[in-house]
Order: sequence, then C-alpha cells, then structure tokens
Amino acid sequence: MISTLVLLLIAGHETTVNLITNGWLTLQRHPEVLQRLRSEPRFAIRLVEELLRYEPSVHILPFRSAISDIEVGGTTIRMGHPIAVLLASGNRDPQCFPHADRFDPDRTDNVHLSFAGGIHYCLGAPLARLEAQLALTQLARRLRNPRLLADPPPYRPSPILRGPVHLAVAYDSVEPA
Amino acid sequence: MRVVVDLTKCEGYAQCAFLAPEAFRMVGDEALLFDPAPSAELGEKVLRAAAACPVQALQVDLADLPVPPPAETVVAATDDRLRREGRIVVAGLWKAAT
Repeated sequence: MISTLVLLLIAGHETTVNLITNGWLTLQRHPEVLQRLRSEPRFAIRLVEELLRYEPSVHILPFRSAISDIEVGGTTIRMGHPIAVLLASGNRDPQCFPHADRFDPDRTDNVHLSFAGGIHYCLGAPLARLEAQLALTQLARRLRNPRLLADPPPYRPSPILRGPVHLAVAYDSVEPA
Repeated sequence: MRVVVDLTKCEGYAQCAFLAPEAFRMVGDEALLFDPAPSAELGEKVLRAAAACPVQALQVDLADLPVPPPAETVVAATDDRLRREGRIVVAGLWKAAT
C-alpha cells in the first residue's frame, strides 16, 4: 500500500514537474520555437511530443526482470535476470529518428518511449500531456522577456528521473491571462 | 477533416479515446470505433489524439475535402453519429497475442 502511494506520488507529480521544467529550459535554448508557441495555438501538441522524446522525465526504468527467456537483438536474456530499460537512449536511436540529437518539433512519426509501452503504458499520459501543453503555452504567452539566470541549471543526481533542482527565470512582467 | 487509422499499426492503447472521445471509442478491449470525418470543431482534440498515439497510427487531414460514405455498416442508434457513420478497426499484434 505504501509503495503504491509512493509510486503514485512520484509518477503523478514529479514526472510532470520535470517535463514542464525540462520543456521550459529547452524552449529558452530555442528562442525561435518559443516564439512560435506564442503565435500558433496548436503548436503545443507536437512540441510536447518532441519534448517528451528529447528531454524525457524518466530516463531509465530499472528493477525489471525477465519472466521468461526473451531474445532481443540476437541476445538472449535468461528468465529472472535483471533488466534496466533505457528509455531516453531509445528516444535518440538514429535508426528510428533522423538527426536524433536535434530538437525538432516538426518531426513526424514521433514514436517515442517516454511513457513506456505495452500493457503498462503510463496511466497518466493523457493528463501529463495536457498539463505540459497548457503550462508551457501559458508561460510562453504571459511571461514578457523571460531569460534563464543559470544555464545549465543545477541537476538532481538521480539517474532515473532527470530534471533541474530548480530553474531560475527572470522576466520583465506577467501579462494578464 | 478526415481521419485514417492504420490498422496494421494500431495496438489498442486507447490514448485517442481519452483525448477525443467524440471521434474515437474503444469497443471492448480490442476494437476501435472511429469517425472518419469528424466535425471541424473537434480539430484540436483530434490533433491531440493523433499526436498522443504511441504507435502513430492516426493520420489526420485537415483540408476540408469531400468524404466518401463509409462502406461498413454499423447499427445506428438515433442521435449517435459515431455509431452511425464511424468505422471500426481491430487493434493489432500485441493485443491479439496476449
């Protein structure tokens, strides 16, 4: 019970915080994309998918184990052996994504792994997408002249969840909603 | 607006049904009922649904082209356009295998 609650807290809160923070950091580093978000209402949809691919909140799914012998890419993983799934690495697979290290919100066929896959596909994916789309759009539209105070920001040391400890942003004023 | 679902890709994740329930609906666990010509007001929801598909099985054409009537026959309930005019696809491989 306690471990389920801990999982829900982390999965439901911290991942989205990191998605929004990593997203804003990426937007500040790509001012032309930030400008586009201000003027194109539907742009947030594709933008968030590319942010999910390029800067995912969850980099590694550790503590898995094979429930039977499985073969992946010519290697057999024996039943019971531990597995760590490197989602963020899969998201930069050059065989799946041309110019994988380039941040490109116009990317089509963006089959990223950031919500994992199969029957345990992230339960909160629709909520996370909506939160990130709304939050980033509002920040882009309402903050006048936003700029990073530290780039790169300080990161938490976790190899699993990726995100800054905090992201300090200065701005001139806030537009009304 | 026209919507096409690639049934060789669709695996029944149902993300589209969460994001645009007016245009996409799961029938049981394995079949997706969808509207091939959703109304223009649903544009944003349908785009969200297409972007969220984990296997990118949805193609959306926003150009307002004439749409041929669907060939499939679906039993229509009164006032249920999706049931009357929708198309159904059976979700693919991993569902079938599990």
